[in-house]
Parts: sequence; C-alpha cells; structure tokens
Amino acid sequence: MLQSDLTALWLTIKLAFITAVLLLVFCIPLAYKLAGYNGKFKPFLEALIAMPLVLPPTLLGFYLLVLFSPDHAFGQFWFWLTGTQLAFSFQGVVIGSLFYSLPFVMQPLVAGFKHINQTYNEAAIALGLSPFKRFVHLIIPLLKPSIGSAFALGFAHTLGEFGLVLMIGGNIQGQTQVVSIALYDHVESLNYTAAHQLSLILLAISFACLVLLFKFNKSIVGVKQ
Amino acid sequence: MIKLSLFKALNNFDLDINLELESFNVLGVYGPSGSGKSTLLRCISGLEPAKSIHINNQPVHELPSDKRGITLQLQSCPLFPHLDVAGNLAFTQKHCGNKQTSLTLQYVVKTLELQDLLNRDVQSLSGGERQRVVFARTLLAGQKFIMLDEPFSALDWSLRFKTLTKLNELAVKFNIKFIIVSHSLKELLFCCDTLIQLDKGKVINQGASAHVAKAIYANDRQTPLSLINYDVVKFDEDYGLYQLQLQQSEQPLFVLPALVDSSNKLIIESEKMSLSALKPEQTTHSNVLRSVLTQAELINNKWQLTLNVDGQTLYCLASRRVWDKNDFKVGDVLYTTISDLE
Amino acid sequence: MSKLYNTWLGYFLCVICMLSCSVNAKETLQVAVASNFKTVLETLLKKSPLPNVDVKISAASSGVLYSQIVHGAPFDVFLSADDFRPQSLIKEGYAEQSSLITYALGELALWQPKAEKVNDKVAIANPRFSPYGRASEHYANNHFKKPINYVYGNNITHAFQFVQSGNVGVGLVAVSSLKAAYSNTQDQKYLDYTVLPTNQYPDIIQQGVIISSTKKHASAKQLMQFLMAEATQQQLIELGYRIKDNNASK
Repeated sequence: MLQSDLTALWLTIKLAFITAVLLLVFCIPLAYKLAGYNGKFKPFLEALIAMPLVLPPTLLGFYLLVLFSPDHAFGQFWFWLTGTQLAFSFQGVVIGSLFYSLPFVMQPLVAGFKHINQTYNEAAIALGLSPFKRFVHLIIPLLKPSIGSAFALGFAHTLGEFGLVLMIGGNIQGQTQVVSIALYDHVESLNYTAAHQLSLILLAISFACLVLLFKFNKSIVGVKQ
Repeated sequence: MIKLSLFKALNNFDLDINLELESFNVLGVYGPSGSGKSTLLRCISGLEPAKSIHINNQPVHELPSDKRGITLQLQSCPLFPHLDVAGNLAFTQKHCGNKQTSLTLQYVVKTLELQDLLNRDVQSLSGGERQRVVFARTLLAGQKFIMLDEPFSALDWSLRFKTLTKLNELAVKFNIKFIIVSHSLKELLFCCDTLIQLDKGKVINQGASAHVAKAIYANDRQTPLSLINYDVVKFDEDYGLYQLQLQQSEQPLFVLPALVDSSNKLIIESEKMSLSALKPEQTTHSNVLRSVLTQAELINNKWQLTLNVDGQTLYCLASRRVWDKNDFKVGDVLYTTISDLE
Repeated sequence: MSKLYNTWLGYFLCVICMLSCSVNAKETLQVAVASNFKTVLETLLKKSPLPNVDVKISAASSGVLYSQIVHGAPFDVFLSADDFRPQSLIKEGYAEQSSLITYALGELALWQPKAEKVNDKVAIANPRFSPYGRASEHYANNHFKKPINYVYGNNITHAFQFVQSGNVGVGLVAVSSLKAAYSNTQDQKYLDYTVLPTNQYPDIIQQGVIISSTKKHASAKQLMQFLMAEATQQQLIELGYRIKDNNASK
C-alpha cells in the first residue's frame, strides 16, 4: 500500500472522528431544544437541518468555497481570527463535513429526545424532579443509544464524503486528501490496483461502523405499554 | 385544604373547575373516560397551566412542578428502562428533593411486598407488577400530597383491594393525602373518604363517598355497590373460610380468604343479592342477612332498594315485575341472600 | 395489472412512449465529451448544427468516460481532454485507429486577478490525471520560485474556480475558461491574464475517436469532419484553444 494512501486513511479517520465529536457537542443541546419546540417554524427548522441530505455535495462545496474566500466576510473573519485560510486546509474540510453530516447526527438525537420527552420526561416532571436532575440522571442516560447511533452515523457518513472535499480541499496530502479523493485520483489515473486496495479498506471500516450502529440501535430500549 | 380554580378549553368541552375541599385523606375523582380527570391532575401538578391552585392555603400555581410539593403518577406511568426495579425505586428516593415523609425504601418494599421484584429487569414485569413498582416509586418521592391516575387498573380485584388497603394505611400513618382518579366506582368507594364526580369538565357532585356514590347510582345507570364493614371472628381451617361478623351486629358472613384483607371492608355488587320476606330455610347459601327495607326508588325502570343491616346500608335491585309480585313495603323485614362469597 | 392504464406505471409508460415516439428523422449520436469541452461543443453545434444528426452530449471527466467505454457504454464518439486515453482505447480495440483526430490543443494562461496576492498558493489542475495539470506543473516547476504551494483542482475548470472565488491568488488556467467567463459576464478581471509561451510547456493534445461498436458510423464521421473543418477550427481559436499545425494561435 502506498504511503500517501496510509496518510489519506489516517486523515479520513481523524476527520470523521473530529466531525462526529464536534457535531455531537453542537447537536445535543440543539436537538434538545428542537425536540421540545412545537412552534410554527418547526417544519422550516427541520427542513433546514435536512437540507444537506438533498443538496448535491458539490453544490454545498462550491458555496463553501465562495464563503471561505478572502473576498467574503466569513473568510475575512476567519483570517482575522486565526491568521489562516479555510479553503484547502484541514479545518476547512472539517467545517464542510459539519454541514455535510449534520442531518445524520441531528436526526437520531432529535428522535431520541422526542421519545424520551413523550414517555419518560413527563413522568419525571410529574414525579417532581428538578430540570437539572432530569437532564443529568434521566435524559442523558436514556439518550446514550441515540448518541451512539448519531456518532456512528456521523462518523460513517463523513468517511465516505467526496464531492464536498473535492470542491474545497484542493487535494493536498495530509491536509485535505481524504480516502475518497485518493481513490478518485487512482481511478482517474487508471491505477486500478491501488484503487481496489483502498476501497477494500474503506469498505471494511464503513462496514464495521455500520455494524456498531445497528448494535447501538438494537440496544435502544423502550417500555412495553 | 385544597382550593382550585381552573379553566382550560379542551377539544370537545371546557374544563371548568372551581373546587374547595376542607379535609380528606383519600379523595377519589370519578368520571367516564374523557371527562377531564387526567387533565385536572396535570393542572394541579403543573404539567399544564391553571388559573389558581391553593394547597393548605399556599398558592402553588406559579411554582414549577418540582417546587409544589406534589407528586403525580401519570396514567400508565412508565418505569425508567435504563434502571432495574431497585434502581427505579432508588431513583426518586435519591433525586427527588425536599422530602416530607420518613418513608424508606425498605419500608415501602416490605409494605407493598416487592422483595421478589427488586432485581428484575423492568421489561420483564407484568402489567400488575409494573403498577405496584410505579406506585412504590411514587411514594418514595417523599411528598405528602400524591395524585394517582388510574394507578391499579392492571391489578386483579383481590390484589387491588389489598394494595388500596395499604394505601389507606399509609395515608393515616404518614399523613399523606391521596387523590385517585379512576373510572371504577368500586375501587374508589373502597378506599376514598371523599369523592368528586366529573362530567364533561365540570364537577357535578362532591362530598362524602357514600353520599356521592348514592347520587351516582341515581343518575348514572351504575349498578349500586354496597360497602360492608366487618370484624374477623376466626378462620375455619376445615372449610378454608373466614367467619366474619358485621360491625355492631351479631350476624355472621362466611367468605373466601381472597376477599378478606386488613381493611375489614367488603364491596358487594347488587346483582349478588336476592331478597325474600321469609327467612329461607332450605338454601345452598349460608350468607343470609336479616335487614330492614328503608327506601325504594324507581330508577331507570328498576327498583333500587335500600336496606339497613344493623346500621349498615345494602343496595339491591329488583325488576318492576318482581317488585309488583312481592308487595314489599318500606319497614318490612327482608332476608338478603348474598352469593359468591364462599 | 388488468388496469394498467390506471396505474402510475401506466402513466409512466405512456410518457416514455410519447417521448420516444416523437417523430424525428435525425439520427441520434451519443457523444462522450470531456467536461471542459462540453460547453464549447454545444456552442459550436448551436452555431452550425449538423444536418441529419442530433448530437446528445454526455459530459464527465475523461477518466470516467474512458472506463465507461471500456465497460460497454453505448457511446458513438469520444472527445477526450488528452491524447493518452483515446490512444489506449485504440490499442485495446475499443476505438478505430483511422478515426483519431486532434481536434484542439489546450492553451494555458497565468491568471492573477488581484494585484496583491492573497496567499502563496498556486492553483493548477491535478497533474496525475489532467494533461492541463501536467503542462501546468511542468511550466511552474521551471518558472516559479520553489517550494511551490500547489492546490490541485479536479480538472482545469476547477482550478479556474479556485482563483475565480478568490481562495487562491494565482492559477494556471485554460484560456478557454477565461474567454468563456468573460463572454458570460463581461467582467474585466477575466481579461487580465498572461498567455504562457507555448514552447515552455508540453502540448495539451485533445484527441477524439470513433468507438468501434458504433452503428452510426456515417454520422460519427460527419461530426469528426465538422470538428476538423476550417471554420470550426478557426472558431476554436477564438474560444481559447490552439489547433494542430498552426502553433501561432494569436
């Protein structure tokens, strides 16, 4: 196996892990709010979160490229904040992945919160538990399987990310050349042997992720009424 | 002691309740399904807003649920699936603050006989077992004002009466006030001293249990139930029966052990009674009580007869044909035969 | 299934029939075109449509089209962005040797739309599989101060977008991309470029072939002749390409 492929593999795993963890951090409080919100903007919020599901990743990538540009306020702000440029950097790819995998992390969490709210949270309020105790001792422990699913889905989905990284990455080894890009390179340059090897590894990792995911899903418990 | 005023528009009617009750130990809320019983409890607990609620002269309607000093056990209240039975019981004991009672986990487990369930997974419990554990968990929240929404619907009558008896004992011993919602008058009559009747969101009757129950029989096409208080005389091992004696009376009853509990109360449905003017000499039933007919009313095309048995009241139904044929009169001595007790 | 006319499948089949039955005397030619030549080909055909031939364009990267053809994609003509892939197809028997044409040569420009550089990055197409990229890398390695901080576009258009969006200060891009962008927007920034001397990078040879399995040989040939016709070749020069045997493009 090529050294560059190993680098790409490690980079991809790092990217998927960081993306999934960051998404969990943002999404848990957000999903908690969203699950409890029933106002008139709810369908709009839900649609907004689901948008990355339907948008072509290359389109998302193209607009991120525009957003990251030093011509754009966001790109300028980031440069002022960090002194670096987002496009063609690992951080940039992470930000892209956050958008790209958002619905996959958000949806299991929202579903989990909704389930808990409907059945257990109200029972606990009625029993007279304070909001803090409910969150710490009831909601979070009950949410564990959903957190597991959300993490596994976010991780697995980021592993296979392609179009978006292609647009904003610039194919830089160790920075933005993830496995899917390296694979594409191999295919484009007709180096099928290397492509097969790399696909096999990516397949194995993705498969393991999904196995874990379904294991988590199975352990989601509910009281039979 | 409890004073509440609430108004809430529901789908089919408005829940409009102004209630003031001076004192009770166990208050029953009776009404058909969808009459607003559960919503009433939800408003009191704070799950839904209410105009004004005073408990022991304290306004609680502006407090959040956990500061009201009230515990509500929802209808078909779930156990927490990430904990086993013991974990669920310890949960409220540990995490519900501001305890008002000295109930301990050991005491509740012993009283409700839950020892064998403690290490069980909550998914493996039957409906009845689950309800008993849920009730124990509610008690362990440690409040002196507890509301229960259809708490024992999955228990068979014998176990239900037994649990209700325990509830009555707890109410007295720990000075806990209970409010129980049920659509079963039998259950409420057994354990409540005070009843309110709800219909389409309004209180249509309130007061002492027997009084409200009587009004319900009159208006609601409900078969009347009779509540008999007794003392236990002895257990006859040969026949496996208890010999009971009606309170302030010499008359005995022989009943199966399943019907006897420490409440010393017996609920008898009117269908299980038959009347005759002469004392039946030849009968397969041993449970015949001498009673005096005190009232006869034609309700829903049937005669409802009120009988006095040495100071206690029995309700019996008679069809118009039977009534006309027998020519009973108020003041007559009648013999009441009760079946299905032994 | 007895009521096929009343099912969604029925409607679907109906629509398919109507679409396919539309009376069309023209022969349809399936042409696989490298992405960067797609709009150019459309422009050319719009100006002077082929009589009796209806050209259907499938655009993708040359590499993707190559593997599709190898695996039996029903294309009649393949217009590649390089010379390697058409020749491989000929060698492997998927395309006709006699049909090989060099329909255009790519032309590179150094483009720096802003006076001050935003960064020291240089956008080029990926040299591993893009002939533009290979030529760009060759030029940059000889003329730029090292080390060079490359950013690789997936193809030459992508490299152009990197500079266009402002994320990269300097890029080696196709003259054709600049000309197309200018004709679309009339923005002056697309005029501010330097054409690289053609002798300082290897030729970017764009070749086309007729696929062996075609049953529309005459139509395919017609398209090839159209591409090589004097008028078309002149137009390609205007659109930012060079042509073979005429290295003085300007």
